[in-house]
Order: sequence, then structure tokens, then C-alpha cells
Amino acid sequence: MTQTCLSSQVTAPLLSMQGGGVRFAQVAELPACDGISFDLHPGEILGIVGESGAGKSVICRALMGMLPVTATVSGSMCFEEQTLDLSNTRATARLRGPNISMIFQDPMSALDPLMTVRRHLALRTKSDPIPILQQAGLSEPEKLMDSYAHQLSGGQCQRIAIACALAHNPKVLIADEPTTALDVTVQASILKQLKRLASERGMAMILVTHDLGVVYQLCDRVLVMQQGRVVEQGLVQTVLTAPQHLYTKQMLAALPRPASRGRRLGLCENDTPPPLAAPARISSNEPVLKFTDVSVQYRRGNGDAFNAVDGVSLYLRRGEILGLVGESGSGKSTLAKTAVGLATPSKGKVLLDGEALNWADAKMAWRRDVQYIFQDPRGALDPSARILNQVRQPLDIHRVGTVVERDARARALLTETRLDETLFLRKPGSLSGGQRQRATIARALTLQPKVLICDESVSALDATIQARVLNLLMDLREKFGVAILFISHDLSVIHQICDRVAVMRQGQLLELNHTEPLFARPSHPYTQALLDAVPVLPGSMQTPLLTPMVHA
Amino acid sequence: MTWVFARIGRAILTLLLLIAFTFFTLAISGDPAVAKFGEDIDMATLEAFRAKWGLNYPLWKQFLIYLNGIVHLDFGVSFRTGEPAWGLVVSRLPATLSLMLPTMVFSILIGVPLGVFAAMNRGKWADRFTIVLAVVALAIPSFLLGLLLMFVFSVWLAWLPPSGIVGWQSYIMPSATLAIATAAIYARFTRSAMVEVLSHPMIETAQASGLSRRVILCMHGLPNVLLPLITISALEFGNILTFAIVVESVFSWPGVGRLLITGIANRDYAVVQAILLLTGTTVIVANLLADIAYGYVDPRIADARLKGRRHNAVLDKT
Repeated sequence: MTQTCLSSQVTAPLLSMQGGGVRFAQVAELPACDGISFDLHPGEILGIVGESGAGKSVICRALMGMLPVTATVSGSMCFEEQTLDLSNTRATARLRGPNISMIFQDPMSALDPLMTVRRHLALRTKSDPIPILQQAGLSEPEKLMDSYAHQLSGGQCQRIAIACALAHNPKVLIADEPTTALDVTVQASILKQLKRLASERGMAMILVTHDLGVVYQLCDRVLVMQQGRVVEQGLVQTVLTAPQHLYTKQMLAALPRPASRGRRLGLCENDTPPPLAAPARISSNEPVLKFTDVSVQYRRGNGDAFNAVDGVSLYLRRGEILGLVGESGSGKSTLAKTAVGLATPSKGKVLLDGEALNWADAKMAWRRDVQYIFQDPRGALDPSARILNQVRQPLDIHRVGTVVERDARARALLTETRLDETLFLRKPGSLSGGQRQRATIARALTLQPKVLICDESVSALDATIQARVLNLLMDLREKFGVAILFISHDLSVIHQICDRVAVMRQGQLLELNHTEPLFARPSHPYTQALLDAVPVLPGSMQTPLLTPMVHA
Repeated sequence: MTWVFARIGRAILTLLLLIAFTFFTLAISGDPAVAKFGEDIDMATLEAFRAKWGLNYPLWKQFLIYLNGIVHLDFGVSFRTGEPAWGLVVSRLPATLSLMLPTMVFSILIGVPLGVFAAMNRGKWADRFTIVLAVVALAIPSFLLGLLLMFVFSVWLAWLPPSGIVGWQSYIMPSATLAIATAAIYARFTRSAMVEVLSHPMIETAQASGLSRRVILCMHGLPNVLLPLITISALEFGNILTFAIVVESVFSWPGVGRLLITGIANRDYAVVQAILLLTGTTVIVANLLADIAYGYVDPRIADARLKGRRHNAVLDKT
């Protein structure tokens, strides 16, 4: 891929941006992005990385003339030797379609729910849509032509969105987090398809992502953005192996890698944190939470029953972190929810300290031993209450100790989660995503639970913040001996913190093993497929680039 | 197709509830015998009147008799004129329908484009102007608007006949009075529905792949706005009926609305009940039709009806 790039350096850039900047009327004093300049050559894939809110999407929308009216755009762009003012949205809008096209994050809502696939393409091209759909990676497009979006999977929808973008034969394709909402195996095959499109059609591409692994696999050059500015740009190999800017270094250091397993993640360049205590932390072999042959049955509208969870047996020991992986719809969350009464097993038992959980029993409702942390910390906190009060609330409800004691305990826990004391009396709105997630973890810990269930709790967080939360979870296990059931689709995170890993698919438990042997020698082909699909970074798990996918 | 029968079954149940409600409400609201003869009449006359109309039976028996009558399309006889109630209502129906249908057509033809226009110019003066216009049109009571029109076009300019039906010109003012308020509702509703559709990510996808504003509006915007518009049309149908009662009084229109008002004033049970049932049935049928139409417009609903609400847990096969 470096060759493509080097040769394209000789030719004139297809698209370039000079001093692009965007300001929104609501926060006029702080530009969403400023002074962005880059070149894009034919056939080149340019990655744009950075934390959420860094201005990645904004700059792409500025290129497309697709910002809301409240935005003030400055700078200029040059497309095929034609220079345009970015503020002239009429002119930039004229480039859309045959010149520049774009795909977005949420594939399910990219399509019109009332329109068939055939009509979507008929709006855009008069020629035969079948080859276009094949180019987008749909193997049997004929079968899908008369389907609607709700009848298709996320991956199929994204491929149709790609086909819509390709219909006008664009010279540049902008992909804004195109695979973030998709499962890891689907992500891998879509990225492979995009890469093939770029090389076969000589189409240039801008790929916005927060995932450095994706950048490494796909891109020729990369632009690192922080707070609306480009802090570093260059060839992917150079930037990722020899980063210059502190922020890039921090981002790379925060990524879980094989070498970092069992250690706290570094938060800056020369920070090699001490290894955590030896695995003796699993204090006893006595399971604290045990699922025996648990099935959860859901009934479809037409009366058919299907098992979201199908005869799963698992146990979790005190002080252990058990990873639960699988694609969406594999039943991993449903299984976890049976431990807190959010789902009821139709068969089998959930035992806590050897005692079967029975949610019909009213006393069970006062559950304190198992706490659940969800993916979205914004939805889990009351936006109108102060952080300290929300963390104290479980103690208030259970009337633990005096008010002063409760207050002290809540403060201690918040300090434990490394939340700054000045934030204790704030409301969730003024906290960042990572700070909010730490507050929900503190709240979950107030009642000294024996088990903590983290359901994709770090998935929505940026790399550096994710590293902080992972470190926190490892510390808490160390300190309180709490057992953690860690649900994630991100295998590098699982590898980082879990002692054992369970792989689920279609409600069934496929494989359960200690982390290292499972990653080294997966016994089930599906586990192998999941492992192959993980985008890798230099120096991490040595999987060849874009290995052929096992068809799931 | 089972859902259609289930839906019709529900419609019939609603209708039964409506019949019971109107019957019992009217029955407890006063004595028609007293209303006809006044307070000072002797008991014998009252009793004779009650016996004649079956008013001396216990209430539940009266209700059963009434229900039996409805099944045979017999809604009883007007206490006031002695004519069958159903015949009276049917004779007034054409006048009311000839007001409602043009109203419905014109309010959609004016309201929907105005709403789309406002949504397309969201936040600009054209949008604000349209909203203000719609609010003003909604805020003016229809009787006042009717009187205003009458003053301008009949009294002042003397272009149009002020009341009754004397020719095609007579239809203009009452329909306009009704259509202005309804069009305002359509405009506001279409605007908010369109604003929502235009902020859906599919619009961005369409823009990004180079579709023109016009194509996006016609192919994505309007069909998606149609769904909520079907719902509002079914509800508006009932609303126009209510408005029509007022407007018919203002313009001395010989329609069902005026019949209802005289019926209520005279405690003419049979006529009032027949009219309430007729309007109620119209609204119920309109909603039933809207439900059926939904299945044709929205494939998601069609699928849900076909298969039951099934989670589409299709694994990615590609």
C-alpha cells in the first residue's frame, strides 16, 4: 500500500483542502475545526482519526457542503484543479454524486424505509444495478432487489448504501465511521471491499474512524486530529510506528496489546506501568455467580418461540474477570440480564453464592449483590441530579448507615474511580463520556456487590478514556475482589483484562477457556473467524492483513 | 388477512360502546316528555306520552329495544315531527356531504403544499410567515370567520348569497370557512412531519450520493410524510364534522349539523342518537381505512401484519 502512495505523490492531488475551518453559531468562540489542510491523490486512502468531537465528521461534511445553516465555513478546496471556496455550499454541493460521494455510520437509517433496493438504485442510475451491488460486495444481489431496509441486516444495508454512493461512479468516496455500528466479522469484510474498490477503480477514499487498527489495515496516509486541529499527518507506517505528537503517542499507548495484558494501560509515552499482582487474585475456586443450563425463550409475534439463550452453563469466581464475546444477537446480554432479573430464564437456574435467584420473590427485588453497568453512561445517569447524590442514592434507598457515613462512602468511591473532586457536585451534562462512565461504576460499587456486569461498558469510549476505565476495572478487582462479567465485541479489550473468555453465538456457548490458550489456539472455527476479523496494529497480534474471511 | 377481521371486530366493539354511551347519556340528561309539554302538564298526558314511546320501560329494556331497532336500521321516530329519525337524517345528508368533501379536498390541496414549503425554508421568513398564518387561521373561531366572510362578501360586496342553498355560489363561503381552519392544521402538521423526515439520516445519504433537492423531496420526503398524513386525515374527518355543526348554523345550511342542534334543543332522542351514531361510525370507518392504507404504504407494517412482530435477526450472510 505504501507503493501506491509513493507513486501517487508524483501526480497532482485529486482533492486538496487548504485551511478548512468550521464554526457553529452556538459556540462561535470555539471553532469545531480550524486550519485543516491535506491532499488526497487518486487511488489513495486517507484515514482521519481522533477522539469524538475532534471535528473529523465536520470537516468531511464541509467538503460535501452538507453542514447545517448555523455553520460558518472558511478555507478553500481544490478538486481536479478547480478551486472552490468552502463557504460556497452551492458550488461544493455540485460536486456531490459523480465526483464526491459519502457513506455514514448508521446503515439501518441510511435507506428509505418505504423504498425497495431496486428503487434506491433506480433513482441514481439508469444502468443495470446488479453489477454495482456486486461491486459493493453483495454476492446475490438479485435476491435483495425487492427487499426493504427492515428486512436486511446492518451489513447488507451498509453495502447497499455503498452501492448508492458508487452509482454515480464517484472519484472520491468519504466513509464516516462506516463499520462502527457493525459486528467485527462484517466490519472486516466491508473494509476489505472498500480497499478493493479503491485499488480496482482508482477511487480515492477518506475514511473517518476512531479505530487505529482499521487505519493501519486500510489507509495509506493518516491525519490525526485533536480538538479541531490536525496534530500530525503522514504515511500510516510512519505515524503509527514512530509518532511525533504527544497526542498520537497517548492514543497508541492507550490501546490494549498482547504485551500489555495483565498490566495497567499506559497513558503516555514513557509510562510503562508496573504489572498488576500475580493471578493469585482469584481468591477461591468457589463460584460466586453460576449459570446452570440457562435458556431464555422469547416469543415472536407469530407465536414461534426462539431461544435467545440456549442451555448455557458458566460460572464466575470471586475476583475473576470473565469475558463474554459474540456478535449482536448472540444472546450475551440476555444471559447477563438473567443475573439481575432483567430477563427470566425459561429453563435452568442462576445461582448466587449457591443460592438460586428467584425474581418472583419480592425480597429479591432488593438486590445488591449483582450490579449492571450499561454501554451508554449518558442514559444511565439522571441528567438533573448531582453526581455525588446519584452515587449515594443506592445507599439512601437501602438506608445504609447515617447520612454523613453515606456521603463519606460515596466520596471515597468517586475518589477511588479517580474522578476529580471538583466534579462531585456537577451534573452529568458537564462531564465527559469517560467521567460519566466512572461515575456509574462508582455508583454500582456503593453497595459492595460481589459481581459487576459490564455490558459493552467501554465500547462507546475513545481509546484514551477506554484505557482509563479498563485500568480502573483492573484496580477495583484487585482492591475489592469483585468478580466481573465483561461483555464486549472488542477482542483486544477482552484479551487485555479477562482471565477467562466465553464465546457465544446464536444463544449457545461455543467455547470457554483461559484467555491465553483461547487466543493462541481457538478450538472453534467461529472463534478463529472472530480473531481473524480484528483489525491489528504493528507489533500486536501478528495476523496477516485482510485474511480471507470465513463466511459466517 | 386475519388482522383485518380483528381490526373490524374492534371497530364494531367501539361502535357498540358509542351506542351505549350516547343512549345512556341522553337518557339521564332529561325527560323528553317534560321537554315536549313543559312543567305544567298533568300526569296523565305525560304517562300517555311515555307509554307511546316506550319510555316507561326500565332503562336496560329500552336499550335492548333500541339495539334491536338499530340492527334493522330503525333508529326510532322523532318525538317532534313523528317522522322516522333515520329518514330525517338521510334527507339532510347530501347538504352536509356537499360541504365536507370540497372542504377535505381544498384543505389538503392548500395545507400540504404550504407545510412542505415551510419545512423546506425552515427557520427563514417564509417558514415563520406560514406558521403565523396557520396559527391565526386556527385561532379565529369558525363562527367568527363565517360572519366575517358573510359581512364582506354578502353584505358589503354583495357577491355571494348569505345563507341557505340558492346556487353553486352558496357553497363557497361555508366551505371556505371550514377549509381555512382545516388547511391550517394540515399545514402545521405537514411542516413538522416534513422537518422530521428531512432530518433523517437517509436524506443525508441521498444528498451525498448526488440526488437533487427535487428528487429527494418527491421520492423520500413526500412518501414518508404521507404516513402521518393518513393518520391525521382520519382524525380530521371527525373534526370537520364538528366544525360543520357550527358553520351550518352560521350559514343556515340545511344539513345534519343544524338538525343535531334543533334535536338537542328539543330532547329529540331518536334524531340526536341517529346523528351521533352516523358521525361516530364515519370516524370509526375513516380510522379503519387509515389502518388498512398504512399496510399499503409502509412495508414494515405490512410485514408485521403478515408475520407477526418478528425480530429480524437475520445473520449477515455475505
